[in-house]
Amino acid sequence: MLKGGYWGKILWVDLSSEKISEGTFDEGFARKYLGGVGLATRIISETVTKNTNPLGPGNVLVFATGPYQAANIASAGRCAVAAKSPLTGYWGEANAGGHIGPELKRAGFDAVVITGRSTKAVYLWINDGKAEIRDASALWGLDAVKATAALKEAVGDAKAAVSCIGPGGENLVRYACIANDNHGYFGRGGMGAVMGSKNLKALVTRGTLKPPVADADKLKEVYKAILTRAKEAPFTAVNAEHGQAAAVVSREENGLLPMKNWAQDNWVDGAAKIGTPRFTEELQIKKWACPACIMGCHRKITNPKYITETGGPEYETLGMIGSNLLVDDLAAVVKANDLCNIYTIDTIELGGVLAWAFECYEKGLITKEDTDGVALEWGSGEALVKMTEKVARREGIGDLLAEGLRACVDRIPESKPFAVESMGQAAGAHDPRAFFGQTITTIASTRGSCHLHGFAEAMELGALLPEIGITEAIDRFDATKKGYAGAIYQDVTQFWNSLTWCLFYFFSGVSLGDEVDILNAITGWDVTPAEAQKIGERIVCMQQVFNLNMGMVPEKENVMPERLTIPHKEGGAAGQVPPWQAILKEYWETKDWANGIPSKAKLVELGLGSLEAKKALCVVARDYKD
Amino acid sequence: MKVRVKFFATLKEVFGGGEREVELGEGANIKDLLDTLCDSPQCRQKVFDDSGKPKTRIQIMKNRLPIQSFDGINTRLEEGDVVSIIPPMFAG
Ligand code: SF4
Repeated sequence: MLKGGYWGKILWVDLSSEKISEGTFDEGFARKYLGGVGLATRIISETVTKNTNPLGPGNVLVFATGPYQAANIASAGRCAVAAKSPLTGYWGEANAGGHIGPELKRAGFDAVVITGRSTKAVYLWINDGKAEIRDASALWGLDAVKATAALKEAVGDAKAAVSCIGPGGENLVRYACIANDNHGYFGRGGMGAVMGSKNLKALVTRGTLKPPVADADKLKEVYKAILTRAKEAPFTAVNAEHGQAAAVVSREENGLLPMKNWAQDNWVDGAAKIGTPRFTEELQIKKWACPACIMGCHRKITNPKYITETGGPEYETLGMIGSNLLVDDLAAVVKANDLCNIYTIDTIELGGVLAWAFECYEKGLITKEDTDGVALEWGSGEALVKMTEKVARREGIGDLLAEGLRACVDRIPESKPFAVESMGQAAGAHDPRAFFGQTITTIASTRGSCHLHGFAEAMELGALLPEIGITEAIDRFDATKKGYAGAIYQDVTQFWNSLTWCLFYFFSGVSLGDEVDILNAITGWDVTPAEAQKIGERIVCMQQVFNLNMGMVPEKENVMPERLTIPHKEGGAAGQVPPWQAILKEYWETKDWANGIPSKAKLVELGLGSLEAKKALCVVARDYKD
Repeated sequence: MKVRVKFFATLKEVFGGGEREVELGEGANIKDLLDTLCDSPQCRQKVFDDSGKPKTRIQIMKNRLPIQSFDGINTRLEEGDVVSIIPPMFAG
C-alpha cells in the first residue's frame, strides 16, 4: 500500500476521442519506477513503437511528478515531461522548475498521460481531482507570456500553473520547448512540438488537496538538518547571488565554454561582456526562485533598458547563443533568449543549429540569398535575433533550421564535420575536451547529446557519491574511470530526475544519502543509496531499450562529434581530447551492455526481463507511419 | 621573480581580490606558489586536501594553458607568468 509520496493515480487524456480516464499504480510500481522520468519511461515504452510518428497522434506525452512533490520542500517545484522526441526520433525528456509539479500533485494526480490529437486547439484544465478539455482556439498563435496570462484569467485563478507553448511549438519546430509560468522551461528534445502536434496549447493545473506523507515528523527532522547544511554550503550563496552566468568567465578560462561552434580557443573580452559581473550589474539582476527553493538561481532583469517579458539567460543560453556564436552584445543575447522563451524554443538547440549555419555562411555553403539578406556573421547579434524569429515562424531558411542539425546536414552534407551533435541533438555548453567526465553525457545520453544526463564533470569538481563508492575526484584530463563514472552518475541523475528534484542541490552539499532519507520519510520505505542507484540504472536501461526499439545502432550514434575530436591549440583545455572510444567501452562494460545493447542477464537483474523480447533488431530507419 | 595570480569565483573572496602579484624565489613552481599564497588555514583548506596536496578539483592554468600540459603542480614558473586559479564551478 502506498503510504506517502503518491496518490497512485495517473490521469489519462485521449485528445482524439476526448476521453478522460484514470489509471492507478501500486507500491511495487512506484518503488520500481519512482516517478518523473522513470514513470514516464515505463508508460511510453509500452505504447510507442518505431513506427510512431513523434509528431503524430500515436506519440504519448507524459507529464510526471515524483514523490518529492508531495512535500513542501526546497527544490520540489520541479516536474518531468517525456515523449518520443521529434528532434531525434529517440527517447525525449526534459525536466524543469515551475509550479506544475506541486500543483499537479496537489490536484490529486501523480502524472498525466496525453495521447491522440485534438481536431482543434485545446487546453487541459486539471483542478482538484477533475480534468476537462477546453477550447483554446482563441489562444492559438499567442506567445507564451500572453497565453499564460489569458489562461490564468480563463480559469479564474492566478495561482494556477500554466505549462504552454508559443508559436515555436505550434509551428512544430523540432526543438520547441514548453514554458512553465514564464519561469522554467522543459527545454530539450522538442516536447513543445509534441504538444503542438496534438493541438494542445497548454496544461493548466491547480490543486488544493494535501498529498500523503508517510512520516511527517521524520521528514521535518531529516529535512531540517539537510536544509541547514545546504544553506551553509558555499555553492548555495554563489548560485543565489550570481546565478549561473557566474560560470561564463571562468569557463572561458578553463576551456569548458563553447566558442565559435566549438572551434575557437579564447574569447576573453567577449566572456567578460556577457558573463558576471557585467551581466549582473548591467542587467540589474534580481534573483528568481522555483517554488520553495532556497537558492533562486533564475534571473530577473530589472534594468528598463532591457525590456524582457521572461527571465534572463542562464549559463547554457549564454554559452550556446552567446559565446558559441561569438555574440558579445548582451542586449542581443537577452533579446534572443526572451524570444525563445515567449516563442518556446530551446536555446541550447537553437545555439547549436545557428552555430552550424554561421559556419556554413563563413564557408560559403549558405549565402545571403538563402537567408533573405541576413549576414550570418560571427558575432552578429542582429543575425541571432532575426534567425530566432525565422526559426519560430519557419520562415525562409528558418524552416530548415527548425528541423534540427541532422536535417540541416542532409541538405548540406559537406557540413557534417561541424554539426556538433550526437543522436541528432546538439551538445550542451560543456566541452568534453575540458572535462573528460562529460564524454558520456555528450555522446551516450539516452536523450541524445546533453550536459546533464550523468554530468560526471561533477565528480571531477568534487561532488562525489561516497555512499556508492565514488570517493575521490579524478583530474579532468585523466581518462581513468571516466566511463565508469559516466555510467554511475547517469544512474544517479536519472534517480534524481525521477524523485523529481533539482540537481543543483547536489552541489549544495545534499548527498545521495540525504535524498534517500527524504524519500524514505515521504514514502515510508527503506530505500538504500545502492537501491537508489539501481532504480536509476533500471530507468536508463529502459530508455536504452526504447532507443534500440526505435532503430538506434549505438556504435553509429554514440560517437563524438568530429569537431570535438580536434584539440584546442590554446586556452584552458589546450591539447586535450578525451579518448572517447575507450571511455565509451568502459561505460558499456560498466552497464553490461555489449556494444550498447543490454544483456539479457542485466535486464533480468533489473526486473526488466519482459523487455528482452522487444529488444532492438538495430535497423536504422525513420519510416514513420500513423 | 614576480608572477601575477588571477583568482576566479569564490576564490576572489578567499584571497581578498581578483588579482595579486606574488614574489617567489627563482626556480619556484606551482606548488611553491600555492604554498606562498595560502598563508592562512582558511586559504589552505580551500586549496589543499587533507594529505597536503592541491585539490584535484581546482583548475590551474599557467599563461592560460592547463598545468597538466606542463608538469602539473611541479610546473616551473618564470618572471611575468600569469597563473589562473579556478575553484569548482557548477552551472548547467
Ligand atoms: S536552484 Fe535554481 S533551478 Fe534549482 S530549484 Fe532553485 S531556482 Fe530552480
